[in-house]
Amino acid sequence: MNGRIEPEEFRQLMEPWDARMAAVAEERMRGNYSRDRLEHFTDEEAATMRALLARLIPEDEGVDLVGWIDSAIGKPMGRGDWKPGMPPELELYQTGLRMLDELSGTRFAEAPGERQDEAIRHLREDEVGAYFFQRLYGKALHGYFGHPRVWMRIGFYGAAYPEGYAWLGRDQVRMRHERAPGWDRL
Amino acid sequence: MSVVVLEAGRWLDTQEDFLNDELSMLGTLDWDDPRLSDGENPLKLGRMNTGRAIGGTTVHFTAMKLRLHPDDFKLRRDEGIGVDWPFDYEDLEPYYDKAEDFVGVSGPRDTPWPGNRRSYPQGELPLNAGDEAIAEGFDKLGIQWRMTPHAVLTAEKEGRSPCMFYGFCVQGCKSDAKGSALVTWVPAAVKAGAEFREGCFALRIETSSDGLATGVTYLQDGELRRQPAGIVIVSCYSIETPRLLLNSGVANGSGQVGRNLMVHPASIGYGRFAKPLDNFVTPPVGIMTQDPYGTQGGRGFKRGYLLNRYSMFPIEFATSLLESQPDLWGPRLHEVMDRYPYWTILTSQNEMLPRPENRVTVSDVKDAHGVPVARVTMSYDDNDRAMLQHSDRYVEDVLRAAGAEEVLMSKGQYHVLGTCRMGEDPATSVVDPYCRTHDVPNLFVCDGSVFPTVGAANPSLTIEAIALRTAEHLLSKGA
Repeated sequence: MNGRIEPEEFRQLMEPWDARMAAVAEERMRGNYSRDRLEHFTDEEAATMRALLARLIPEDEGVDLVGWIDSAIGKPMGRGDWKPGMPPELELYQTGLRMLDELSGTRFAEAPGERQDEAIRHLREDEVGAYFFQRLYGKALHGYFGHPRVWMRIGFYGAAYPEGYAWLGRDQVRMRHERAPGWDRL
Repeated sequence: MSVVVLEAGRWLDTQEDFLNDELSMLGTLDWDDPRLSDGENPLKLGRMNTGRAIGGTTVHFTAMKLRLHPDDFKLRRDEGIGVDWPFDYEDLEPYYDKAEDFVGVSGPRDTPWPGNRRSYPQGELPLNAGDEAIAEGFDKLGIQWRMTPHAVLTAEKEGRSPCMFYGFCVQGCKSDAKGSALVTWVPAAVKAGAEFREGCFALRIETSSDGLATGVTYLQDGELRRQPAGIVIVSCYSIETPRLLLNSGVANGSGQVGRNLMVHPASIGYGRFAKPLDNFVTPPVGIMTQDPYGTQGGRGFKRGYLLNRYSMFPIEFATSLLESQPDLWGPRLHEVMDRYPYWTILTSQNEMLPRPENRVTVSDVKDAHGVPVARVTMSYDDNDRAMLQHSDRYVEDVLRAAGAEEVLMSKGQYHVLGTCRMGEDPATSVVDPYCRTHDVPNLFVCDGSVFPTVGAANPSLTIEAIALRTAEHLLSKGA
């Protein structure tokens, strides 16, 4: 039971989009935020982060969340508040990743899933660890839920411009979803 | 009179610069420079509450256009709490009318609560499927509801198109239907001869030895400039306004600059329904009730709140929910978010009372220009907590009555207000009833900072009404 939009249907939804919005979506689907080389993290840090994000967002729909975080360092993305006493963003992330390795007794990326989850729980009992979790995970969710393949997964139609949404009330929503895959299984 | 407006943000074009995309628009419209945030209930700052663009915070606002209630203005006189406004609802009413007419507010034909207009200039927005569901819940519980009045056109007005239901109000409306200052007051000001300068970050208000403001020093794209002025009006909203005054060392004889910061604390209920509601297809705010507004007997707290149906696009939905659902990760994240179209949101908006310890100060940390950044301190008291407990239950009851199969409760904080309180007494307030600072006769503060108390209504209409009243006063003095 979900609202998944199949790729063919999403293509149809994209057809009326303006060129700029379509280009933004196409670029995300093509590039998945991947970078040729990471700008801010070592290979070890990237491996720990990748393993962490795989526990937090298990089904990544092919979105490169480590690439996303790397490209988003130093970009407040609409949120300027910072907790007094906490290290600056990049340092906070590096510290948190180091803590995860320490808490899992081995390299976090090599620990079994259960041990990883336990390390995440312990991390969040620490003030810096909890802030790291909140900020890094929050930023990762921006990249994930900003990606068109994730929109398809969760049943979000994306842009409405220039035509506008034509279905508003419950009857119209029902009519729309009656034609959508999965409605009959509700 | 010649008017120059200095704006730190950019002059954005609704067609060229706005996209129907959450991610692209983050940071484009928001004041997201660093600020320290602490206290027991630290604020999220930026996207949710402070804008940076020509048109200010209205460029990203949800366009709710509510009046305060008449009894909001006299809490000290009538209830012995908070502080009184230096004027009454009746004094502001003609300016409410004028602002609603000017931006083109759409709203219901009859509203059962005080302080609401009898008939709005434009017809109300239609209900979406989420509204229809929530309305059933309200009806079952005997709660009165109406479509919220919006600064969103439902019919053409002066070249602006009616609402096209893109849903992307908060990302900047592409149809000009949303009556942000960018498409309403700014073009009118330009037509009347005002000059707007974008990318201008005010560093200091300059004063002379005789205690008058002489102008503003500012950075325009990194270059230091100075604008002399006969009158200076600061309209940087409740965090940057006190920051600028404190960094300039002006208008703080009372010690009140930065004090009495208020927000609207919120109980946010996410309800999951059996079938999709596609909650995101209209402007983010739908129907409302003001039944719980103001002080009512037997609730165990002073003042009250309102409720409205709300929608969030996926990024805001997930990140806001995470604040109060610490286990929203792993399989649980997918379990909740894979049903995105099935959720609708009901949120309260609670009144909080002014307390001097909730405040904006300037910190030791400096921004990229070397200017001390704001430190914002917010803690709730017993009254706030008791009201939130009450609104939590109220929100959940309505969602359950509406048929929600699962309800997740979260907390939020809307708007930032106070910090340069308006009043008659120079010892306890920063500006007089016409927004003139008590200390510097040709320096004004005109924005949400001047609110002595905040009611439970969204502030933009009251900010505009106060601005119209102040402008009229200035013109009558032959400024």
